[in-house]
Amino acid sequence: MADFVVEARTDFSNDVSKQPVLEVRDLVVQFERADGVVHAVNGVDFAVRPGEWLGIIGESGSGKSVTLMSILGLLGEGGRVIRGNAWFNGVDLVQLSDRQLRTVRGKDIGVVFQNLAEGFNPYLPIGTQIAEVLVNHRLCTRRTAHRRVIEFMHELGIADAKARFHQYPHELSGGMRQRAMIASAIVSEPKVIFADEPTTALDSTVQMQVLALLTDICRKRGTAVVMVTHDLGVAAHTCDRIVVMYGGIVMEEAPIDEFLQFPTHPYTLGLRDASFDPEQPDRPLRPIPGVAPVLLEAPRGCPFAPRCHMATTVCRERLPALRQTRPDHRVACHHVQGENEHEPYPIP
Amino acid sequence: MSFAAISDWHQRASHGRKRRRRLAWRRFCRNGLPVIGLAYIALLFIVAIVGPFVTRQPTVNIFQANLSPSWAHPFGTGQYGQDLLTQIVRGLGGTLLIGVTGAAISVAIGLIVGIAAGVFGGIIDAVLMRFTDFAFSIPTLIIALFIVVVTGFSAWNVGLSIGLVTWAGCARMARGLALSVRNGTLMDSAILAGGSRWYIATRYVLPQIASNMIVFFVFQVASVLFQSTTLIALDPQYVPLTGGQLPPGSNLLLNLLNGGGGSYIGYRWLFWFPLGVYCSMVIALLWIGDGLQALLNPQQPLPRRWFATWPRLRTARGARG
Amino acid sequence: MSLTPFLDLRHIEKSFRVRGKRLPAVRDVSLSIREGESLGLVGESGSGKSTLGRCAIGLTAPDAGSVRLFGQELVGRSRRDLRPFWRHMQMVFQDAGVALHPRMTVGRNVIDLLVARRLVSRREGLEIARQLLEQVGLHADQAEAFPFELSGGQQQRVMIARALAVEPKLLICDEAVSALDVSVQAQMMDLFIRLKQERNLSYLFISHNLPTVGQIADRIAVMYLGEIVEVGTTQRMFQKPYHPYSKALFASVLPIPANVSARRELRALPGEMPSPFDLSRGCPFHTRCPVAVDRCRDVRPQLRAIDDDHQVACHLA
Repeated sequence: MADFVVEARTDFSNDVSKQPVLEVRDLVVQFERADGVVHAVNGVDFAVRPGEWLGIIGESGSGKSVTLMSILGLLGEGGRVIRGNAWFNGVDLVQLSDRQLRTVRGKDIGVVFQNLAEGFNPYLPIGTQIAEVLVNHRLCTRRTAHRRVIEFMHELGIADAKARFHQYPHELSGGMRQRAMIASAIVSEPKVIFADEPTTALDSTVQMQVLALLTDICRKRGTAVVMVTHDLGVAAHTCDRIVVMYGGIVMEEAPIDEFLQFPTHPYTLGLRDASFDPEQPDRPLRPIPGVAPVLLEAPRGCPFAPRCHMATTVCRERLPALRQTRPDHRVACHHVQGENEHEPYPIP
Repeated sequence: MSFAAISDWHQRASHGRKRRRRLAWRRFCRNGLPVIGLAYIALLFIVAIVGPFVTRQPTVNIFQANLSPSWAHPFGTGQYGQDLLTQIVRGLGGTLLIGVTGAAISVAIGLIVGIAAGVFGGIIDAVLMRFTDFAFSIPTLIIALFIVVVTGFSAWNVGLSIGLVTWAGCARMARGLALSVRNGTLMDSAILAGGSRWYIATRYVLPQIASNMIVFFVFQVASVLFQSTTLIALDPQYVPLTGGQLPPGSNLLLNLLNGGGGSYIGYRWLFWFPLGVYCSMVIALLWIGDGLQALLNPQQPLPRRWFATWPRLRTARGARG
Repeated sequence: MSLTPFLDLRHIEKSFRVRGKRLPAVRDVSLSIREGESLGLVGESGSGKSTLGRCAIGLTAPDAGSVRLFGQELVGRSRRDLRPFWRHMQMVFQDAGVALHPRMTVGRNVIDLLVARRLVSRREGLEIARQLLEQVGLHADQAEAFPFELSGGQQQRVMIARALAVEPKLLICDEAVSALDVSVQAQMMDLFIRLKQERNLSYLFISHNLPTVGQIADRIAVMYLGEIVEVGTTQRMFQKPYHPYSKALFASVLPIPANVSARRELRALPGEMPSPFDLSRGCPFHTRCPVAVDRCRDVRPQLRAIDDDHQVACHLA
């Protein structure tokens, strides 16, 4: 992998010193289904810098998980990357064969899934499976792997690591299994971790444990994390940069402080209005009406227009481009003024 | 909020009984095999009904014994010079009767025992299941043979005897299904609905089991036919010929098979033709069973129609290039 | 909201036999719901909240204790004798996909409670079903559909319409929205709140998901290992819970901060919920409690009022 030259990509960052560790450009993913072609991802751009936490938020069906899975080559039956690149270490992951991807997956990119049941083989002890990551990627021998995994589990705050090593997945609680999953994702010291709703299936206090663990260990090692979540509170407390997705396109992208202080896109505002605020439990919530659509055609207008209270004719007819509205803040909405536009967007 | 629900609903196109029936038929047709099976069995039924009117009972004529297939005797002739095709045609009704009676009896008994066990539970369940275990353990063929010997050989009696000894498997299955309904959330909501035990049994437990039982019935017909062929000792050749007539039941497929396979190694057609009819019948029944399983399970996704998808695949590829 | 106790649970005990061992699921729990009030019951998996809900409605018979609806005792009654009570309280299950009759149309499902009690004929029922479906935000024509043809959220609406057919006063919702997508969850909560206002419904809202409970509940009870550790008004519970477990639990709901400096520190409760098989005499939470003292190990704290409408089971409160 080292033979490849890292191609410089343009216009993504004002911090030139830090090259992105992962850069996704114009990614388009479609699914072949019995009732047609589902346009799951329709041209997504984002970049992750070393050590950065990127939060991708949106409702289910907005294409956020599919984006991650397509980069990893885990799309499943009928799924296909139509075009786009995912530059990682100077290599386009989209172009790699399944076999080449396997050397990247798990070694250079760690994965934490939402569904705990899928992550582990029920017939093997948990420690063996974590050690397997090291052995498979030729990072150490089987004998040293055993010792390293136990040390590592200990570091992750898994009490009784020696005993846990030999336990089977079903013998562990949900929180412990998720911790083991994080262990297996991070043991090979990857540059990026993909975390797909890592805490959604867990009980509230366990969620907190897992989140605290993940932030702690990744910050310490400088691992970049791409976290897909629908929970704005979780994303706001952990991420450095937020990408809001809907209908398979990026609706808004901003650094976290900017995002919290100046949320702009009607969809982002809708998500905020629909989120429960524990500081004001009495505040009535305003859920966004309807559900995220399954797009059987490429979106002609803004995909959010049918559910948007601000939608006008132009929204239904033209796909809004992602435009800079403030420094390092980009929004895809016809009704939001761009940074250098003094006139509002003409509305017919 | 309702607007979302409505638009979603209308996107799913029209609904109603007619459409649902059409969809059910499409599930049944899935890969075409169930339709072939259904057509074949229907054909056999027509032959079985019409056959006896257009053919005459083959008679003993030893000068024409064991002739190989020819235009006059397409399937050849048997040891008494009887035409094998005529025999198959005339015996088909009885053969089908064996299968249907046997399956109907075993499914009926099984259903009653299973539902009683599933609905009432407790002691009734325990007693019935021990009895079923006992019935399961009996060497079925010996008992079936005994029943046939006592009641006399006929298609009815063969079917009856096999039905009476094979119900235990069906009962165990019905009970398993009833228990899964009984222990599920559906049962909780049925109880909270406030209906009587009878209401729950007939509206909640029975319909859930029945659809599986219909499928089981078709498979059971095949199974009974299979079991009937092993009633070897009933081969009519052990019955003395009287007055130039073939013994009763000698046209039945099971006896043709035994006669052809056991005694006449050299005259292969006597074995292969009945075997062919028998096997095709069982396979057709299995295919129908598979189709019914899909038909009765509305949750099953509709099959992909390959002929409808390939142009789309082309356009997707075209868009890429 | 009147103050008359409407559903009153006193000293409920329930344990199950698991592989020959006694597994206590609910241990001496008392709760009451007033008319028109919604009570949230929160706790993590294995805390016994679902079992308590089933005991309340009579689907599970408690080992000891009493359940009173309008002052009438429910415990000890046969299923037949419980039927009249189920006109006043009904249950909404987590997965409507398996709680609805798969072979009945949606309309028939909705009026099942009426047909089972022979209150209406099937034909009269259909009109009622159409009205009920519209009340829960579905289209009347969907009465002709089958449950599997609807989405998860729509199925859950059907489940609610079905329960509403007998015009109950209390709905017990056991993780009623937990299986749904988040945006659909919000819409369902909207419906629950609307029904509460329109019909003066009471809820026993059981969930592990605090935000959903927070939206609908007037009061919240927190369960840990089969016991109620704290009960208080929703406002108070989110802002100032007393019990150390409640503190950790409610702190796990992260708000959206106004800016980065307003972010909370992610602090997690250490350890795991101990196995209910080997519970000590003391406070169930003492193994993980950051402020536990000797007394917590030996003496089980009783739920006691520390304020109006606020009860805590902690020696240190």
